[in-house]
Amino acid sequence: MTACAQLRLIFVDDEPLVLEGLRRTLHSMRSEWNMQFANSGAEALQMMAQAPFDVLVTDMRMPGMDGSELLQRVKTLYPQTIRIVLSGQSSRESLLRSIAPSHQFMPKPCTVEELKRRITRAFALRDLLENPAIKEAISGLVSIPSLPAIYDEAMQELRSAEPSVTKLATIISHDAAMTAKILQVANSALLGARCHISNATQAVTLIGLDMIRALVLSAHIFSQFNGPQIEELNITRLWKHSLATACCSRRIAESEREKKGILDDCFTAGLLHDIGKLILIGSLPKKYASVIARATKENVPLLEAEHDAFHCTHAEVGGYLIGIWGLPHTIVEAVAWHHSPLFAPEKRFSPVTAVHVSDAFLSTSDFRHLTQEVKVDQKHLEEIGLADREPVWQKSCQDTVESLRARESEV
Amino acid sequence: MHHILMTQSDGLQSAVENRDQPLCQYDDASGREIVSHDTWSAIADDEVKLFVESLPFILIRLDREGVVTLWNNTASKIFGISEKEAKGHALAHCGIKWQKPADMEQQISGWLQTESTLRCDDVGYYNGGEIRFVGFSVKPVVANQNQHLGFIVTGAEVTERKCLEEQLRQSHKLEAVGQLAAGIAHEINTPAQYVADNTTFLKESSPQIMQLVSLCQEIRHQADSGSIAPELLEKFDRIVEQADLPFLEKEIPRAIDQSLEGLMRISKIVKAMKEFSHPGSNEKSPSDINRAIETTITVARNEWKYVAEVDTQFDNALPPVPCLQGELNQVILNLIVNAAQAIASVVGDGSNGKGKITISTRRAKESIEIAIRDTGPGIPPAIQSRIFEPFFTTKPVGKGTGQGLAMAHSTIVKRHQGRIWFESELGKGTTFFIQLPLDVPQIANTKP
Repeated sequence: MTACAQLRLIFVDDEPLVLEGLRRTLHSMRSEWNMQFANSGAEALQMMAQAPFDVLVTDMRMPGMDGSELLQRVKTLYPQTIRIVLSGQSSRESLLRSIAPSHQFMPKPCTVEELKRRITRAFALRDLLENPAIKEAISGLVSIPSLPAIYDEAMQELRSAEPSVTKLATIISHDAAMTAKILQVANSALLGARCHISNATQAVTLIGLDMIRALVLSAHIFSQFNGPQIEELNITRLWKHSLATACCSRRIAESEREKKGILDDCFTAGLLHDIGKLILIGSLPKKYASVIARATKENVPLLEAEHDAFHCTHAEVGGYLIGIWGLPHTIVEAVAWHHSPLFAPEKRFSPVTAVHVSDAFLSTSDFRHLTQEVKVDQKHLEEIGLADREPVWQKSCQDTVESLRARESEV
Repeated sequence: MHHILMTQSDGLQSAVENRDQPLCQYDDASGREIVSHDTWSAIADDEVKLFVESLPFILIRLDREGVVTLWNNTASKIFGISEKEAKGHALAHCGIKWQKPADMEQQISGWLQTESTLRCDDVGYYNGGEIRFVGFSVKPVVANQNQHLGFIVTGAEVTERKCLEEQLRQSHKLEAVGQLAAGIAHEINTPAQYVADNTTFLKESSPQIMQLVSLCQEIRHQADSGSIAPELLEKFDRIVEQADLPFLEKEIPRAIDQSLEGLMRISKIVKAMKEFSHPGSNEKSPSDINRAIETTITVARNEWKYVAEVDTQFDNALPPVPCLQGELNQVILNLIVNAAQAIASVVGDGSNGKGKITISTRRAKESIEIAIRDTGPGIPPAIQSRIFEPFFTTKPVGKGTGQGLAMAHSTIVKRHQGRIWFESELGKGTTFFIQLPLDVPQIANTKP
């Protein structure tokens, strides 16, 4: 990884006093951040044409070009730029208009700590992706494709005369793509939630049925695979594998007597751990199919085959996306480091451990995605001082798989 | 919700009118009958008596002095007073617990002078401790040779209709508040953002300044004792450098000024909101119209500031105007929002220059006049005659309910006995005028 260069940020607001306040209070960040301030969308675009920016923080309601138009333009012109909304309007309409072109949404007034934290987190993984083409593709994503059958199920529930929150939450919380998007909205701070939300069911309740319906039907936050049917990709298997990883990870955390919040983090991290695969399958289905074919037929480790083809791995792709979407950092880290837990900053039990162990366990079960065994990184277990817990976790995974099998045969 | 209320209210209104209709015809018929039989008691015909008794509305006959001579079943039920109790007494003192007995006495004495049909709406009375409302229609009965035979008073209870009207007004008020809520939030959140940022900046820079102050004191102390340790001066220089003093020197006063400015902006809008949503009183009270307009402009700022400048030309000698301030505020709000929307249809997002809303007040003899002028596209002549109709709107679905101007009309005309009209020129703009009388009778006898 290269050393962190100075981040370039541009702040846009039609109220000069807001810009002055930000400039003053962020003065202490001047060694890490290069900050520019623009009074209108047009001025911002002029400045962006002269030099690239890493982050755009914009107001929504402005005379002339409004925030959503600016976001839309920047998304097309400079897809790599992280787009954050800082708006005094916390209305539904405003969220609906900005959800597609922006990565994160923050309501005014927001504390400077919150702003710093969000920007720093979004960039924690910015050097993860060396391939600018992939970076651009990811930064431009509005949704991640779901399995058509699951997508249909969610749409049917939403369009029914009396949709049930419980049913909808169940469908969403079993699907990685929809969960990621719902958590992006829930963590956008729009809804006034200051703590992080990693539980999809909680997120669905918080956002509310009407809002979800509007987001799905008009902002199209969910989508389904419509690419070519390629056997190697095996997306149905991937869906099952993700759900199984989620269940195993939560069971492992339970065996460590972790708190409810950590259990939720582990479940969601497990569900999302392979979201990078979904992204690659959705954006580059043929190329990714050939990567998988090479990995399985020539017995090249998948990460290596991915790296040869894209200069990055599915773990990095997934971590990068949910990072810029503002999902809780514990989940982002678990997704990014599930194959290389030694890189994880936490040197104790965390979702990274749970997901890593579950993924390895499942790679030899019928809940695997590909026929390639993944080994548990013993150094990681030693590093966090829990090497002796592995047999217990294996048992947890075994139990989970059995109950999943039992449930499957019931259906 | 208010659509339903409006429809129900209209329904009730027409139901009452439908009831009045046959009654008026009956008056005529009975009038003639009276002539032929000379007195009511002559109507011995049981069948006719039964009809009179079965009428679903109040039917009272008064003699020329206003004494009750006939009192039907419905009147008994509505007022809780039997025919026996009422007969032989003046209507004003027949036992009905009027809400405003003195007013009522004055009113009824006015009836006795009338030569045409009078209507008297929304008269309050108590029945079983509950306030209820009734509407009357009073008609003098005159025989062929100008022989005055007294009066026929018909009426119906309108409590339910009045409640619905009240709810309708409330729901309009809520709608207006809801419409404004997002804009007001924006108006507050923006200064809240920079006040917080500036305060954070002051908080973060104050430890450095305090450190410098204490170092200064130490240096002073050492200077008193003869010599200053060079390390102390070095430390001082180091901290001065770290603190970026020129920056602090320039920015601290500004941070304070701008925070104060932001707080003023917040408190101004909060105060305006409080004044705008004036607690609904049904009594007119003398109000400062200029101030009410100023308040409404502030509350609605987010609705116009992107597309228009607002200019006020107030008559500062304007006397207090008796009005229902909360309702008048809503009318003005409606006209300002309409003006802003009209201007937006001409100037778009405001990037190529804004339009203008000019609001003026002036005294015109025994009334005052408010004029709200916009530089919008003007109202096409084809729809000019319809704009005060309820449910008439040119706005897209979901944007307007078509109630704004209809409500404004009824508030000004019915509730304030004022006038509302407009002048419009295509391509130039529209001016709405409101005229409010300075002298308003508390209860008005209106001719139908």
